[in-house]
Amino acid sequence: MSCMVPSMPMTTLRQRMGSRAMSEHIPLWAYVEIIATCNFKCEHCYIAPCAEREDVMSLAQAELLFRKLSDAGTLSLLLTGGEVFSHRQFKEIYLSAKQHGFMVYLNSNGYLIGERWADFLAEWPPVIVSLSLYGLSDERYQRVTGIPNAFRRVDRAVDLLLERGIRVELKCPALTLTVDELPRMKEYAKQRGIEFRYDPIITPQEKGDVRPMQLQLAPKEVLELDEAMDPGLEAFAEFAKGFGKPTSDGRVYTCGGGRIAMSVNVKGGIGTCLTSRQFVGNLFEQPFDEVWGMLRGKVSKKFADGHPCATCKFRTICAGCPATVEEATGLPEGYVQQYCKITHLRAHRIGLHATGVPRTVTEGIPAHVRTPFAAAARALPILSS
Amino acid sequence: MVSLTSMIEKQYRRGERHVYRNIAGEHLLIALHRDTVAPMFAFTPTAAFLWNRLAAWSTNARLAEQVAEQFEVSLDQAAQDVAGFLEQLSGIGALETRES
Ligand code: SF4
Ligand code: SF4
Repeated sequence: MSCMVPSMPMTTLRQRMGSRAMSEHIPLWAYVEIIATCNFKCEHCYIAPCAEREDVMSLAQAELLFRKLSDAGTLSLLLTGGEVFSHRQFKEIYLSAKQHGFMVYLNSNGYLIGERWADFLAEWPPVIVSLSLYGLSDERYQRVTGIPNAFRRVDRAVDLLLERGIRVELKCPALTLTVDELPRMKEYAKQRGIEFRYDPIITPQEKGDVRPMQLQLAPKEVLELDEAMDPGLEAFAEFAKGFGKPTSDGRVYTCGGGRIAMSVNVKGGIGTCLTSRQFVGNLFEQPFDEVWGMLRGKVSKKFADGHPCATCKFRTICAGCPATVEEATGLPEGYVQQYCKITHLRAHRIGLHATGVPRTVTEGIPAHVRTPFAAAARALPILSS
Repeated sequence: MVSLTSMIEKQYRRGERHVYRNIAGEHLLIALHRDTVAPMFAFTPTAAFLWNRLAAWSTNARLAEQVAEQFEVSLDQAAQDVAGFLEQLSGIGALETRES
Protein backbone atom coordinates (compact mmCIF):
# COMPACT_ATOMS: atom_id res chain seq x y z
CA MET A 1 0.00 0.00 0.00
CA SER A 2 1.26 3.43 -0.83
CA CYS A 3 -0.79 5.79 1.24
CA MET A 4 0.23 8.96 -0.44
CA VAL A 5 -0.10 9.35 -4.15
CA PRO A 6 3.03 11.18 -5.21
CA SER A 7 2.96 9.70 -8.70
CA MET A 8 -0.33 11.38 -9.63
CA PRO A 9 0.43 14.78 -11.16
CA MET A 10 -1.18 17.60 -9.20
CA THR A 11 -2.77 18.92 -12.41
CA THR A 12 -4.69 15.63 -12.76
CA LEU A 13 -5.81 15.86 -9.16
CA ARG A 14 -6.86 19.47 -9.61
CA GLN A 15 -8.79 18.65 -12.78
CA ARG A 16 -10.62 15.88 -10.98
CA MET A 17 -11.45 18.19 -8.11
CA GLY A 18 -12.48 20.95 -10.52
CA SER A 19 -14.98 18.70 -12.34
CA ARG A 20 -16.45 17.44 -9.10
CA ALA A 21 -16.61 20.98 -7.68
CA MET A 22 -18.42 22.17 -10.84
CA SER A 23 -21.06 19.48 -10.60
CA GLU A 24 -21.50 19.79 -6.83
CA HIS A 25 -21.06 23.58 -6.60
CA ILE A 26 -18.14 23.55 -4.22
CA PRO A 27 -16.41 26.95 -3.82
CA LEU A 28 -12.89 25.68 -4.50
CA TRP A 29 -11.63 29.23 -5.04
CA ALA A 30 -12.12 32.31 -2.89
CA TYR A 31 -10.69 35.76 -3.55
CA VAL A 32 -10.62 37.72 -0.33
CA GLU A 33 -10.06 41.48 -0.09
CA ILE A 34 -8.62 42.04 3.36
CA ILE A 35 -8.05 45.77 2.86
CA ALA A 36 -9.49 48.26 0.40
CA THR A 37 -6.93 51.04 0.93
CA CYS A 38 -3.55 51.14 -0.74
CA ASN A 39 -0.21 52.93 -0.49
CA PHE A 40 -0.41 53.63 -4.24
CA LYS A 41 -2.79 56.06 -5.94
CA CYS A 42 -3.17 54.41 -9.31
CA GLU A 43 -5.03 56.29 -12.02
CA HIS A 44 -6.87 53.17 -13.15
CA CYS A 45 -7.75 51.73 -9.74
CA TYR A 46 -11.35 50.64 -9.11
CA ILE A 47 -11.11 50.12 -5.37
CA ALA A 48 -8.63 52.24 -3.41
CA PRO A 49 -9.89 55.69 -4.51
CA CYS A 50 -13.32 54.83 -3.05
CA ALA A 51 -11.99 53.32 0.18
CA GLU A 52 -12.26 54.79 3.66
CA ARG A 53 -9.54 54.28 6.26
CA GLU A 54 -11.70 51.80 8.12
CA ASP A 55 -12.25 49.58 5.07
CA VAL A 56 -10.09 46.88 6.54
CA MET A 57 -11.04 43.32 7.49
CA SER A 58 -10.17 42.56 11.10
CA LEU A 59 -8.36 39.40 12.13
CA ALA A 60 -11.53 38.17 13.87
CA GLN A 61 -13.58 38.75 10.70
CA ALA A 62 -10.96 37.02 8.58
CA GLU A 63 -10.94 34.02 10.91
CA LEU A 64 -14.71 33.77 10.84
CA LEU A 65 -14.57 33.86 7.08
CA PHE A 66 -11.81 31.25 6.88
CA ARG A 67 -13.80 28.87 9.07
CA LYS A 68 -16.85 29.20 6.83
CA LEU A 69 -14.83 28.83 3.63
CA SER A 70 -12.91 25.86 4.98
CA ASP A 71 -16.13 24.09 5.97
CA ALA A 72 -17.58 24.84 2.53
CA GLY A 73 -14.62 23.19 0.76
CA THR A 74 -12.47 26.10 -0.40
CA LEU A 75 -8.96 25.00 -1.26
CA SER A 76 -7.35 27.98 -2.99
CA LEU A 77 -7.53 31.35 -1.33
CA LEU A 78 -6.26 34.61 -2.78
CA LEU A 79 -5.54 37.42 -0.34
CA THR A 80 -5.80 40.74 -2.09
CA GLY A 81 -6.47 44.44 -1.57
CA GLY A 82 -5.87 47.36 -1.84
CA GLU A 83 -2.41 46.50 -0.70
CA VAL A 84 -2.24 43.49 1.60
CA PHE A 85 1.16 44.35 3.07
CA SER A 86 -0.21 47.66 4.35
CA HIS A 87 -2.69 45.74 6.55
CA ARG A 88 -1.49 45.98 10.15
CA GLN A 89 -2.43 42.38 10.86
CA PHE A 90 -1.39 40.93 7.55
CA LYS A 91 1.00 38.44 9.15
CA GLU A 92 -1.65 37.06 11.51
CA ILE A 93 -4.28 36.87 8.76
CA TYR A 94 -1.88 35.17 6.38
CA LEU A 95 -0.79 32.59 8.94
CA SER A 96 -4.39 31.96 9.92
CA ALA A 97 -5.24 31.30 6.25
CA LYS A 98 -2.33 28.85 6.06
CA GLN A 99 -3.37 27.13 9.29
CA HIS A 100 -6.88 26.65 7.94
CA GLY A 101 -5.26 24.55 5.21
CA PHE A 102 -5.78 26.83 2.22
CA MET A 103 -3.38 27.03 -0.68
CA VAL A 104 -2.70 30.74 -0.29
CA TYR A 105 -2.08 33.10 -3.20
CA LEU A 106 -1.10 36.75 -2.76
CA ASN A 107 -1.69 39.90 -4.79
CA SER A 108 0.55 42.87 -4.06
CA ASN A 109 2.09 45.94 -5.66
CA GLY A 110 5.42 44.89 -4.13
CA TYR A 111 6.37 48.31 -2.77
CA LEU A 112 6.38 47.26 0.89
CA ILE A 113 8.14 43.93 0.40
CA GLY A 114 11.61 44.28 1.92
CA GLU A 115 13.92 41.65 3.39
CA ARG A 116 11.74 40.96 6.42
CA TRP A 117 8.60 40.20 4.45
CA ALA A 118 10.60 38.19 1.91
CA ASP A 119 12.13 36.10 4.73
CA PHE A 120 8.69 35.60 6.26
CA LEU A 121 7.21 34.42 2.95
CA ALA A 122 10.19 32.14 2.36
CA GLU A 123 9.50 30.48 5.70
CA TRP A 124 5.74 30.17 5.14
CA PRO A 125 5.53 30.03 1.34
CA PRO A 126 2.45 31.11 -0.59
CA VAL A 127 1.65 29.30 -3.83
CA ILE A 128 2.60 32.44 -5.72
CA VAL A 129 3.00 36.17 -5.23
CA SER A 130 1.32 38.00 -8.07
CA LEU A 131 2.92 41.43 -8.33
CA SER A 132 1.56 44.37 -10.30
CA LEU A 133 4.24 45.98 -12.43
CA TYR A 134 3.42 49.45 -13.71
CA GLY A 135 6.54 50.30 -15.69
CA LEU A 136 10.30 49.98 -15.71
CA SER A 137 11.35 53.33 -14.28
CA ASP A 138 10.60 55.51 -11.27
CA GLU A 139 9.26 58.17 -13.64
CA ARG A 140 6.71 55.79 -15.17
CA TYR A 141 5.66 54.58 -11.75
CA GLN A 142 5.14 58.15 -10.62
CA ARG A 143 2.82 58.75 -13.59
CA VAL A 144 0.75 55.61 -13.08
CA THR A 145 0.76 55.23 -9.30
CA GLY A 146 1.49 58.76 -8.10
CA ILE A 147 4.37 57.46 -5.93
CA PRO A 148 8.00 58.56 -6.36
CA ASN A 149 10.95 56.14 -6.43
CA ALA A 150 8.62 53.16 -6.59
CA PHE A 151 10.10 51.12 -9.43
CA ARG A 152 13.41 50.66 -7.63
CA ARG A 153 11.55 49.22 -4.63
CA VAL A 154 9.34 46.90 -6.68
CA ASP A 155 12.35 45.79 -8.71
CA ARG A 156 14.15 44.92 -5.44
CA ALA A 157 11.07 43.11 -4.14
CA VAL A 158 11.08 40.91 -7.25
CA ASP A 159 14.74 40.05 -6.63
CA LEU A 160 14.25 39.42 -2.91
CA LEU A 161 11.39 37.00 -3.55
CA LEU A 162 13.11 35.18 -6.40
CA GLU A 163 16.38 34.85 -4.43
CA ARG A 164 14.41 33.00 -1.78
CA GLY A 165 12.77 30.65 -4.23
CA ILE A 166 9.30 32.17 -3.90
CA ARG A 167 7.17 31.85 -7.03
CA VAL A 168 6.38 35.24 -8.54
CA GLU A 169 4.32 36.38 -11.49
CA LEU A 170 4.00 39.87 -12.89
CA LYS A 171 0.97 41.55 -14.38
CA CYS A 172 0.12 44.95 -15.72
CA PRO A 173 -3.07 46.63 -16.91
CA ALA A 174 -2.69 47.70 -20.54
CA LEU A 175 -3.44 51.41 -20.28
CA THR A 176 -2.66 54.42 -22.40
CA LEU A 177 -0.09 55.10 -19.64
CA THR A 178 1.64 51.71 -19.81
CA VAL A 179 1.11 50.37 -23.32
CA ASP A 180 4.42 51.46 -24.81
CA GLU A 181 6.43 49.73 -22.08
CA LEU A 182 4.53 46.44 -22.04
CA PRO A 183 6.81 44.59 -24.51
CA ARG A 184 9.84 45.56 -22.39
CA MET A 185 8.03 44.51 -19.22
CA LYS A 186 7.43 41.12 -20.81
CA GLU A 187 11.16 40.94 -21.53
CA TYR A 188 11.96 41.98 -17.94
CA ALA A 189 9.84 39.07 -16.70
CA LYS A 190 11.30 36.64 -19.23
CA GLN A 191 14.86 37.47 -18.16
CA ARG A 192 13.87 36.48 -14.63
CA GLY A 193 12.10 33.33 -15.76
CA ILE A 194 8.67 34.45 -14.62
CA GLU A 195 5.23 34.77 -16.18
CA PHE A 196 3.90 38.11 -17.36
CA ARG A 197 0.26 38.95 -18.07
CA TYR A 198 -1.49 42.07 -19.26
CA ASP A 199 -5.15 42.97 -19.29
CA PRO A 200 -6.60 45.59 -21.61
CA ILE A 201 -10.03 45.87 -19.98
CA ILE A 202 -10.48 48.72 -17.52
CA THR A 203 -13.57 49.13 -15.37
CA PRO A 204 -15.01 52.16 -13.55
CA GLN A 205 -14.27 52.87 -9.90
CA GLU A 206 -16.36 50.98 -7.36
CA LYS A 207 -18.62 53.97 -6.77
CA GLY A 208 -19.15 54.59 -10.47
CA ASP A 209 -16.55 57.22 -11.40
CA VAL A 210 -15.66 56.35 -15.00
CA ARG A 211 -12.34 58.21 -15.19
CA PRO A 212 -10.28 54.97 -15.22
CA MET A 213 -12.01 53.97 -18.47
CA GLN A 214 -10.49 56.95 -20.20
CA LEU A 215 -7.20 55.08 -19.94
CA GLN A 216 -8.61 52.09 -21.84
CA LEU A 217 -7.05 51.37 -25.22
CA ALA A 218 -9.23 51.50 -28.33
CA PRO A 219 -9.88 48.07 -29.90
CA LYS A 220 -7.40 48.67 -32.73
CA GLU A 221 -4.72 49.64 -30.23
CA VAL A 222 -5.42 46.48 -28.25
CA LEU A 223 -4.83 44.42 -31.37
CA GLU A 224 -1.58 46.26 -32.10
CA LEU A 225 -0.47 45.54 -28.56
CA ASP A 226 -1.47 41.86 -28.86
CA GLU A 227 0.59 41.66 -32.03
CA ALA A 228 3.62 43.21 -30.33
CA MET A 229 3.33 40.87 -27.35
CA ASP A 230 2.38 37.70 -29.23
CA PRO A 231 3.34 37.94 -32.94
CA GLY A 232 0.65 36.40 -35.12
CA LEU A 233 -1.42 35.93 -31.94
CA GLU A 234 -0.11 32.39 -31.89
CA ALA A 235 -0.61 31.83 -28.18
CA PHE A 236 -4.11 33.27 -28.45
CA ALA A 237 -4.89 30.98 -31.39
CA GLU A 238 -3.76 28.01 -29.32
CA PHE A 239 -5.97 29.13 -26.44
CA ALA A 240 -8.92 29.70 -28.79
CA LYS A 241 -8.57 26.17 -30.15
CA GLY A 242 -9.44 24.72 -26.78
CA PHE A 243 -12.04 27.24 -25.76
CA GLY A 244 -13.63 28.82 -28.82
CA LYS A 245 -16.70 26.65 -28.79
CA PRO A 246 -20.24 27.93 -29.22
CA THR A 247 -22.42 27.91 -26.12
CA SER A 248 -26.03 27.34 -26.89
CA ASP A 249 -27.77 27.35 -23.52
CA GLY A 250 -27.91 31.16 -23.33
CA ARG A 251 -26.34 31.35 -19.87
CA VAL A 252 -24.78 34.74 -19.09
CA TYR A 253 -22.03 33.25 -16.94
CA THR A 254 -19.86 30.58 -18.51
CA CYS A 255 -17.02 31.01 -15.99
CA GLY A 256 -16.60 29.47 -12.55
CA GLY A 257 -17.87 32.56 -10.69
CA GLY A 258 -20.70 31.56 -8.33
CA ARG A 259 -20.19 27.90 -9.24
CA ILE A 260 -16.69 27.06 -7.97
CA ALA A 261 -15.37 30.54 -7.18
CA MET A 262 -16.38 33.62 -5.25
CA SER A 263 -14.98 36.88 -3.96
CA VAL A 264 -15.41 38.48 -0.55
CA ASN A 265 -14.89 42.18 0.02
CA VAL A 266 -13.70 43.86 3.25
CA LYS A 267 -17.27 44.14 4.49
CA GLY A 268 -18.11 40.48 3.90
CA GLY A 269 -20.01 41.10 0.64
CA ILE A 270 -19.99 38.18 -1.79
CA GLY A 271 -19.36 38.50 -5.50
CA THR A 272 -18.52 36.32 -8.47
CA CYS A 273 -14.94 37.62 -8.75
CA LEU A 274 -12.82 40.65 -7.91
CA THR A 275 -13.99 42.62 -10.95
CA SER A 276 -17.65 42.46 -9.99
CA ARG A 277 -18.55 45.11 -7.43
CA GLN A 278 -22.22 44.19 -7.10
CA PHE A 279 -22.28 42.05 -4.01
CA VAL A 280 -24.97 39.67 -2.83
CA GLY A 281 -25.39 38.72 0.81
CA ASN A 282 -22.90 39.09 3.63
CA LEU A 283 -20.68 36.27 4.79
CA PHE A 284 -19.88 37.93 8.11
CA GLU A 285 -23.56 37.90 9.04
CA GLN A 286 -25.26 35.12 7.11
CA PRO A 287 -24.67 31.37 6.93
CA PHE A 288 -22.49 30.26 4.04
CA ASP A 289 -25.20 28.24 2.29
CA GLU A 290 -27.52 31.22 2.24
CA VAL A 291 -25.08 33.60 0.49
CA TRP A 292 -23.70 30.89 -1.78
CA GLY A 293 -27.28 30.15 -2.83
CA MET A 294 -27.84 33.84 -3.57
CA LEU A 295 -24.74 33.95 -5.73
CA ARG A 296 -25.81 30.81 -7.58
CA GLY A 297 -29.10 32.55 -8.28
CA LYS A 298 -27.22 35.48 -9.77
CA VAL A 299 -25.09 33.33 -12.09
CA SER A 300 -28.03 31.29 -13.36
CA LYS A 301 -29.25 34.27 -15.40
CA LYS A 302 -29.94 33.78 -19.08
CA PHE A 303 -29.73 36.23 -21.96
CA ALA A 304 -32.95 37.60 -23.37
CA ASP A 305 -33.85 36.45 -26.88
CA GLY A 306 -32.00 38.36 -29.56
CA HIS A 307 -29.10 39.34 -27.31
CA PRO A 308 -25.92 39.43 -29.44
CA CYS A 309 -23.93 37.33 -26.95
CA ALA A 310 -26.60 34.63 -26.49
CA THR A 311 -25.49 32.49 -29.41
CA CYS A 312 -22.01 33.91 -29.99
CA LYS A 313 -19.32 31.36 -30.72
CA PHE A 314 -16.65 33.64 -29.26
CA ARG A 315 -18.11 33.77 -25.76
CA THR A 316 -15.28 31.88 -24.13
CA ILE A 317 -12.59 33.97 -25.83
CA CYS A 318 -14.40 37.27 -25.46
CA ALA A 319 -12.34 40.23 -24.17
CA GLY A 320 -15.20 41.10 -21.86
CA CYS A 321 -17.01 38.94 -19.36
CA PRO A 322 -20.22 39.30 -17.33
CA ALA A 323 -18.32 41.11 -14.56
CA THR A 324 -16.66 43.72 -16.79
CA VAL A 325 -19.97 44.18 -18.64
CA GLU A 326 -21.77 44.55 -15.31
CA GLU A 327 -19.35 47.29 -14.27
CA ALA A 328 -19.80 49.22 -17.52
CA THR A 329 -23.55 48.78 -17.96
CA GLY A 330 -24.92 47.92 -14.51
CA LEU A 331 -26.03 44.44 -15.62
CA PRO A 332 -23.99 41.29 -16.31
CA GLU A 333 -26.31 40.65 -19.26
CA GLY A 334 -25.59 44.06 -20.79
CA TYR A 335 -23.48 44.53 -23.90
CA VAL A 336 -20.27 46.52 -24.50
CA GLN A 337 -19.51 46.93 -28.15
CA GLN A 338 -15.87 47.79 -27.38
CA TYR A 339 -15.25 44.31 -26.00
CA CYS A 340 -17.04 42.82 -28.96
CA LYS A 341 -14.84 44.75 -31.38
CA ILE A 342 -11.65 43.64 -29.62
CA THR A 343 -12.80 40.03 -29.74
CA HIS A 344 -13.79 40.16 -33.41
CA LEU A 345 -10.50 41.79 -34.39
CA ARG A 346 -8.63 39.05 -32.55
CA ALA A 347 -10.81 36.34 -34.11
CA HIS A 348 -10.22 37.86 -37.56
CA ARG A 349 -6.47 37.92 -36.97
CA ILE A 350 -6.38 34.19 -36.30
CA GLY A 351 -8.76 33.33 -39.13
CA LEU A 352 -11.90 32.66 -37.10
CA HIS A 353 -13.93 35.60 -38.45
CA ALA A 354 -14.16 36.90 -41.98
CA THR A 355 -14.28 40.65 -41.41
CA GLY A 356 -13.36 41.38 -37.80
CA VAL A 357 -16.46 43.55 -37.53
CA PRO A 358 -19.27 42.52 -35.17
CA ARG A 359 -22.81 42.19 -36.44
CA THR A 360 -23.94 44.91 -34.06
CA VAL A 361 -21.84 47.42 -36.01
CA THR A 362 -23.56 46.64 -39.28
CA GLU A 363 -27.01 45.80 -37.96
CA GLY A 364 -27.20 47.80 -34.75
CA ILE A 365 -27.65 46.77 -31.12
CA PRO A 366 -31.14 45.48 -30.23
CA ALA A 367 -33.01 48.14 -28.28
CA HIS A 368 -33.75 45.88 -25.30
CA VAL A 369 -30.05 45.25 -24.59
CA ARG A 370 -28.45 47.39 -21.89
CA THR A 371 -25.34 49.22 -23.15
CA PRO A 372 -22.81 51.30 -21.14
CA PHE A 373 -24.13 54.22 -19.11
CA ALA A 374 -23.72 57.49 -20.99
CA ALA A 375 -20.69 58.52 -18.94
CA ALA A 376 -19.06 55.12 -19.31
CA ALA A 377 -19.75 55.08 -23.03
CA ARG A 378 -18.16 58.51 -23.43
CA ALA A 379 -15.11 57.37 -21.47
CA LEU A 380 -14.52 54.33 -23.67
CA PRO A 381 -12.25 55.15 -26.59
CA ILE A 382 -13.79 54.41 -29.94
CA LEU A 383 -12.35 52.51 -32.86
CA SER A 384 -11.12 54.78 -35.61
CA SER A 385 -10.79 52.88 -38.83
CA MET B 1 15.63 -11.70 30.82
CA VAL B 2 13.81 -9.11 28.71
CA SER B 3 16.26 -6.76 27.04
CA LEU B 4 15.83 -3.06 27.65
CA THR B 5 15.72 -2.20 23.95
CA SER B 6 12.77 -4.47 23.30
CA MET B 7 10.77 -2.57 25.90
CA ILE B 8 11.48 0.77 24.30
CA GLU B 9 8.75 1.42 21.82
CA LYS B 10 8.75 4.10 19.20
CA GLN B 11 5.73 6.36 19.21
CA TYR B 12 4.46 8.58 16.46
CA ARG B 13 2.28 11.63 16.18
CA ARG B 14 1.49 13.86 13.22
CA GLY B 15 3.41 17.15 13.06
CA GLU B 16 1.85 20.58 13.13
CA ARG B 17 3.26 21.87 9.89
CA HIS B 18 0.79 20.09 7.65
CA VAL B 19 -2.99 20.34 7.57
CA TYR B 20 -5.34 17.63 6.34
CA ARG B 21 -8.31 18.65 4.18
CA ASN B 22 -11.05 16.56 2.63
CA ILE B 23 -12.27 18.48 -0.41
CA ALA B 24 -14.35 17.37 -3.39
CA GLY B 25 -13.79 13.74 -2.52
CA GLU B 26 -10.01 14.06 -2.25
CA HIS B 27 -7.90 13.60 0.85
CA LEU B 28 -5.24 16.31 0.84
CA LEU B 29 -2.32 17.18 3.02
CA ILE B 30 -1.35 20.85 2.76
CA ALA B 31 2.13 21.97 3.79
CA LEU B 32 2.38 25.15 5.81
CA HIS B 33 6.12 25.57 6.23
CA ARG B 34 9.10 25.55 3.87
CA ASP B 35 10.53 22.41 5.54
CA THR B 36 8.76 20.01 3.24
CA VAL B 37 9.14 18.66 -0.26
CA ALA B 38 5.92 19.85 -1.94
CA PRO B 39 3.07 22.25 -1.14
CA MET B 40 0.37 19.58 -1.35
CA PHE B 41 0.10 15.78 -1.16
CA ALA B 42 -2.76 13.43 -1.96
CA PHE B 43 -3.74 10.71 0.51
CA THR B 44 -5.55 7.45 -0.04
CA PRO B 45 -8.52 6.84 2.29
CA THR B 46 -6.29 4.56 4.40
CA ALA B 47 -3.70 7.31 4.74
CA ALA B 48 -6.41 9.76 5.76
CA PHE B 49 -7.61 7.26 8.37
CA LEU B 50 -4.08 6.90 9.75
CA TRP B 51 -3.53 10.67 9.77
CA ASN B 52 -6.61 11.03 11.96
CA ARG B 53 -5.35 8.33 14.32
CA LEU B 54 -2.02 10.17 14.52
CA ALA B 55 -3.63 13.14 16.25
CA ALA B 56 -2.46 11.43 19.45
CA TRP B 57 0.78 9.51 20.07
CA SER B 58 0.52 5.96 18.81
CA THR B 59 2.69 2.99 17.91
CA ASN B 60 3.18 1.04 14.73
CA ALA B 61 1.52 -1.98 16.35
CA ARG B 62 -1.51 -0.05 17.57
CA LEU B 63 -1.96 1.66 14.21
CA ALA B 64 -1.68 -1.68 12.43
CA GLU B 65 -4.41 -3.13 14.63
CA GLN B 66 -6.67 -0.23 13.81
CA VAL B 67 -6.03 -0.54 10.07
CA ALA B 68 -6.67 -4.30 10.20
CA GLU B 69 -9.96 -3.70 12.01
CA GLN B 70 -11.10 -0.95 9.70
CA PHE B 71 -9.99 -2.24 6.30
CA GLU B 72 -10.17 -6.02 6.66
CA VAL B 73 -6.53 -6.76 5.90
CA SER B 74 -4.25 -9.13 7.79
CA LEU B 75 -2.31 -7.76 10.72
CA ASP B 76 0.98 -8.48 8.94
CA GLN B 77 -0.11 -6.62 5.84
CA ALA B 78 -1.41 -3.72 7.93
CA ALA B 79 1.89 -3.52 9.86
CA GLN B 80 3.82 -3.32 6.60
CA ASP B 81 1.48 -0.67 5.22
CA VAL B 82 1.68 1.40 8.38
CA ALA B 83 5.48 1.22 8.41
CA GLY B 84 5.57 2.39 4.79
CA PHE B 85 3.23 5.25 5.48
CA LEU B 86 5.13 6.41 8.55
CA GLU B 87 8.29 6.42 6.50
CA GLN B 88 6.62 8.54 3.84
CA LEU B 89 5.30 10.99 6.44
CA SER B 90 8.71 11.22 8.03
CA GLY B 91 10.22 11.91 4.61
CA ILE B 92 8.07 14.98 4.12
CA GLY B 93 8.63 16.26 7.65
CA ALA B 94 5.06 15.58 8.80
CA LEU B 95 5.79 13.19 11.65
CA GLU B 96 7.00 13.54 15.23
CA THR B 97 8.58 10.59 17.02
CA ARG B 98 9.49 9.73 20.60
CA GLU B 99 10.52 6.64 22.49
CA SER B 100 8.88 5.41 25.62
S1 SF4 C 1 -1.66 49.07 -6.55
FE1 SF4 C 1 -3.63 48.09 -7.03
S2 SF4 C 1 -4.98 48.50 -5.28
FE2 SF4 C 1 -3.20 49.90 -5.15
S3 SF4 C 1 -3.94 51.79 -6.09
FE3 SF4 C 1 -2.87 50.58 -7.64
S4 SF4 C 1 -4.48 49.38 -8.65
FE4 SF4 C 1 -5.35 50.14 -6.71
S1 SF4 D 1 -19.41 40.82 -26.71
FE1 SF4 D 1 -19.38 40.15 -28.84
S2 SF4 D 1 -17.68 38.69 -28.97
FE2 SF4 D 1 -18.18 38.94 -26.81
S3 SF4 D 1 -19.64 37.32 -26.41
FE3 SF4 D 1 -20.85 39.13 -26.89
S4 SF4 D 1 -21.24 38.98 -29.10
FE4 SF4 D 1 -19.56 37.56 -28.61
